[in-house]
Amino acid sequence: MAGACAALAAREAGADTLLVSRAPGATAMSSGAFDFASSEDDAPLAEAARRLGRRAGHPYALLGEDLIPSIDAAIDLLRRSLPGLRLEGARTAADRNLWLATPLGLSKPAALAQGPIAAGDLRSLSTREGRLGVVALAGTQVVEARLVAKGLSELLAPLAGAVVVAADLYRQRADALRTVPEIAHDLDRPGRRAELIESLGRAAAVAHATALLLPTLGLADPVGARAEMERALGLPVFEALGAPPSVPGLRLQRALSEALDKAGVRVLQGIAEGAGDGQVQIVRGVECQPVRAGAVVLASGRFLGGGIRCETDGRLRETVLDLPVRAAGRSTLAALPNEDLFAQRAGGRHAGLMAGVEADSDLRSGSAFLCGAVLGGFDPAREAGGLGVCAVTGLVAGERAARQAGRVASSAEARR
Amino acid sequence: MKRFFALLLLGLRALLLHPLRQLFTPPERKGKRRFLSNYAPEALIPMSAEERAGLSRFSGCVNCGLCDAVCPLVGRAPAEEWRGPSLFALAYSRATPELPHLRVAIAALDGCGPCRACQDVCPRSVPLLDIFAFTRRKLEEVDAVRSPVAELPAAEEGMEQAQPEPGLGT
Amino acid sequence: MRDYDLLVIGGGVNGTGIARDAAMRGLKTLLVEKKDFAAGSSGANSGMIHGGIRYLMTDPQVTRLSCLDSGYIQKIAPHLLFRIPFLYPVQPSRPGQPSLKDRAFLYGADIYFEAYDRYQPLKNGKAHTRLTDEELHELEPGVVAGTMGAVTMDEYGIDPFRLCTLNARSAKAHGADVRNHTQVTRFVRDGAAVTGAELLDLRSGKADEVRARVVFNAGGPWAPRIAALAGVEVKIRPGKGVHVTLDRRLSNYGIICKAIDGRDVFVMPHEDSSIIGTTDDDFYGDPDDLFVTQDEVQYLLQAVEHTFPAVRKARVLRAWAGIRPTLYAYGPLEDALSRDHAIYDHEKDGAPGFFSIVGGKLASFRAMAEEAVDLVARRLGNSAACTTHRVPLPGGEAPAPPAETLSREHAVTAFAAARISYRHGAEAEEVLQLAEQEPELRAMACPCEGVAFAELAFSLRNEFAESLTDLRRRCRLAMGICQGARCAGPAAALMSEERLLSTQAALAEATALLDERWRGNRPVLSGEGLAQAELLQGTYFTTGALGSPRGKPWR
Repeated sequence: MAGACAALAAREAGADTLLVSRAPGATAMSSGAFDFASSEDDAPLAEAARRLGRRAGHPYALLGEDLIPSIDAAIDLLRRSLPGLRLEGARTAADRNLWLATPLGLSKPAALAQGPIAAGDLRSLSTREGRLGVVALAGTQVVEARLVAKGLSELLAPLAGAVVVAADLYRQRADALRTVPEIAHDLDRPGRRAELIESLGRAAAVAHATALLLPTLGLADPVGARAEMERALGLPVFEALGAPPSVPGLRLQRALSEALDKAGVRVLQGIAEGAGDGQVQIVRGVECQPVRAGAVVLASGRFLGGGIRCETDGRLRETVLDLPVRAAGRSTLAALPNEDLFAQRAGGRHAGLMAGVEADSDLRSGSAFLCGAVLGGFDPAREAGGLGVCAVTGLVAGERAARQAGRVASSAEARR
Repeated sequence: MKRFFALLLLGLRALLLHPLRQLFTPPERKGKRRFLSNYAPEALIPMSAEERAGLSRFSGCVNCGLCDAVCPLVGRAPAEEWRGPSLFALAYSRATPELPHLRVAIAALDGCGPCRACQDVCPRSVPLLDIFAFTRRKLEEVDAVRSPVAELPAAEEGMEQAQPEPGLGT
Repeated sequence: MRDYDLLVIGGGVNGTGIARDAAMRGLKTLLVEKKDFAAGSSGANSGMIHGGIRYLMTDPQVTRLSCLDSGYIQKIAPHLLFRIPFLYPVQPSRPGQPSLKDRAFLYGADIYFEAYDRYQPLKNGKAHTRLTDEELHELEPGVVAGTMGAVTMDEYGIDPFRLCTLNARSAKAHGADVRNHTQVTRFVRDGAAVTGAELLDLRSGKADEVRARVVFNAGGPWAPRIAALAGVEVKIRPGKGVHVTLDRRLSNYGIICKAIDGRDVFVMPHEDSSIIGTTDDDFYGDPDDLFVTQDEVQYLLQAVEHTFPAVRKARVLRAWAGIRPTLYAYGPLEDALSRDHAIYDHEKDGAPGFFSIVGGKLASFRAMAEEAVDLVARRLGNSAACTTHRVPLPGGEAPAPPAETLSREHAVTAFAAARISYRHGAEAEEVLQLAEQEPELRAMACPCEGVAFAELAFSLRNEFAESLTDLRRRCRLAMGICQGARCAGPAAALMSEERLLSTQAALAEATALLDERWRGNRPVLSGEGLAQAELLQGTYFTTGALGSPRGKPWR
């Protein structure tokens, strides 16, 4: 996310942009929601973001006065660049978060979500009478749907409730092994959508459901699938957030690829490494290709993305440019068991998981601009934002890098 | 006192019984060959140095499921035979005694051609294609040592060795 | 109020073994365990059933009996045992310069292991071999250079959680009452005699009282505390032992390595992981609150690295600790302490009717239980013979059908069928049969370890499982590479259905499982483990919103 937003922003600012990527990162495992900032008291985005901006070490703290305008710009960039995903939710930071049903039957805040997911905003569902049908299709999802329905029933009370709608589309014994991505692929096959509609129609009627929440609407065209189903069934249809293996995550990854392609960003698959002097070279198989760039943006992610690694001796390492990495002020994670770095309970705060490179208010470390999870300072699992922080810092880093590259180019021009 | 006699017995073994035994034991019942004939039937076969060197790269999987989501064979092969590439990293390549049970899953790899979708999408750069090759090769090796035509030395002292079913203790 | 012949306190391998033996001899037995079976020492050891080779010099009778008993365990639970061949590489004291002393040591080891060969047939073990250095490296190329060769033998590995659960099930099948998550709060006395106990069901909060003619304390590290409730002193010398689990079988075979202080540390291929262990340190803390330190982890990894350097590149999944309830002795080093067991009749301590058992090894549990129940039976006038060595444990009656057959018949992967067969033996068919009647149970909760919903349901219905952590012990849920990242949610949903839990209770179960897994992951987080933690945190605490405040968060 961070790299794609940086590249798109840089391109829009007129820079000739190259994106080097080893492989998909945490973005491809995301749920379909875009977390920018949230708070327990349901404050508007801007307020929640400002609070995060006051938290030492959080990337929002680096943006100062640019924070809110950057959030607005990032929301706008995402909506424009990913038309196929039909992102809905906040238009600007003045808006509040959506509240979306989670795979555990709880609710989570998100500024934006992919269209069919955003439509299932619990806040609005809870304001009117209704019975949300949590659709059970195949695999573990069938049993999980019951937990979700129970949880949503509590959340939507007293006006609305939730029930399980068991569709009989998957009746073969081996269908019980299907995962949600398999179901998604299956639903993309010709004719399956119609069969699903027929099966859902029956099941929804039996359950007296007034809206349907499906585990997936297919990988290829969830928006089209949703429209067709709503037309045929006469009921609102929503898609659920994805836990790994996440279909919305895969969709997002592909949509970003398309956006980069459309914007004219050159994309190279390979491993970037520092070549000294702030420059970079790209390793692909046995080839090693140096790159001359007016500016470099590092958006390599954290542990999942591979931008930060902890070696077996405990040393934290930034894997491309070897910039200094810190977690709770330490450069190693070797002092365990240590409450500072990793809380005793799984759900506690883990400073060790917020490891990253410390950047200045220019989003720089050394000569490179940084954005996304490689910045550290935000817990990937909390209200401190996730994809949204990556998008915001990506956009800012991309714009600033483009400006620098422009200056470099024009000064080189001037020197001729 | 007990220890003295124990040492005495061991001394007797060391100086007399053991050298005599060594003299009359044929080479296939000694050393590595004996070891392999003891344990190969349970698919406890060794890995080579090259395989050992590559093994740590196999360990990067975090069960994100992306490879399974992009594998074109999923849904085409029967579900209980092929679940996608991830199980090779997460399960099938972890222990050789499992391999005889994975015959069908490994055979399904025949349907896996020049496609590299799984490896290209893997966020952890797990070398899935190498893992496939590794498990396939290992199963062939297990079959080779356990095939009826392979020469296995006779049981010790003519005792019927109740061979347990291969696998993890079944 | 229930009246029993025997109350057994402690659900480890000794407690469950004693309960089984007693029940099979017709004694009316109650087994209570405050947490879960094998939640203490019995679940934190190396998972080995071995023949006591170290006693060969001093007590060959002990070796013989250990091997004999290993053979019995193999007969009663053949599906649970798997062979672990061990290599004992010999390294010269000065690297690259084997001295005469070193060669003599290798020769001596050869003789010693050959002496052990006499007992191997008792447990279907194979003869030892002596390997030249070249052969050693052909078989185990990962062994460091500069060795002089090796001697080999084999022992068995076992899943200790399944063993204890099966003992408990067998006890119940023979008429015993079995209560886990139940704690003894007070003993009932009739004068000096211990005649019963007050019990607290820790899940429901309900208390009740039972009478028993004999009370047996098999509390392991908690034995002194339980004895204190009876006003009796039982001394043990608690020894903390730490192990580390790797994500896969790293070495081909078990390897006996020398740690920096000369102790033996093993790397054992165990089921589909490797286990490295163990340490041995006097422990003065609370056995309910164990944690592993960085030092302990590094000690173990260094020990293995000395003989098998590739361990440094391996993915370490977790580190865990347990307490050995070793017999008390003041003076010897931890390693030199006797591993013998002792059974105390506390009549001479002023508490007639109260007995304790301490010490021993996992491998000798059955023989220890036999001895204990012999004592109790004599006291109670019961003269039935012990049959625990002949009657199979549940699932041990016959081998499971081949995994391929189960896979075809029940539409599960052959891998899952093989793992379920390992855990359940002859009952694998019954487990999978649940999916025929209830099709959604066919789904796979945990792909890493091949755990189907059907297995979780079977365990909840038949194996005294009351929580996801109980299921973890019985079914290996969340014990694979992803450490719960994929399965905690689905498993909580399944348990919610089986036990009709509220959402709060179901989510509490998921949280408890993740907390328990995290406890073991924390000391070894690096490399891939951090990526895994990032994914797990994102799945449950971001996408899932686990731990978020309850109630409507919006205005």
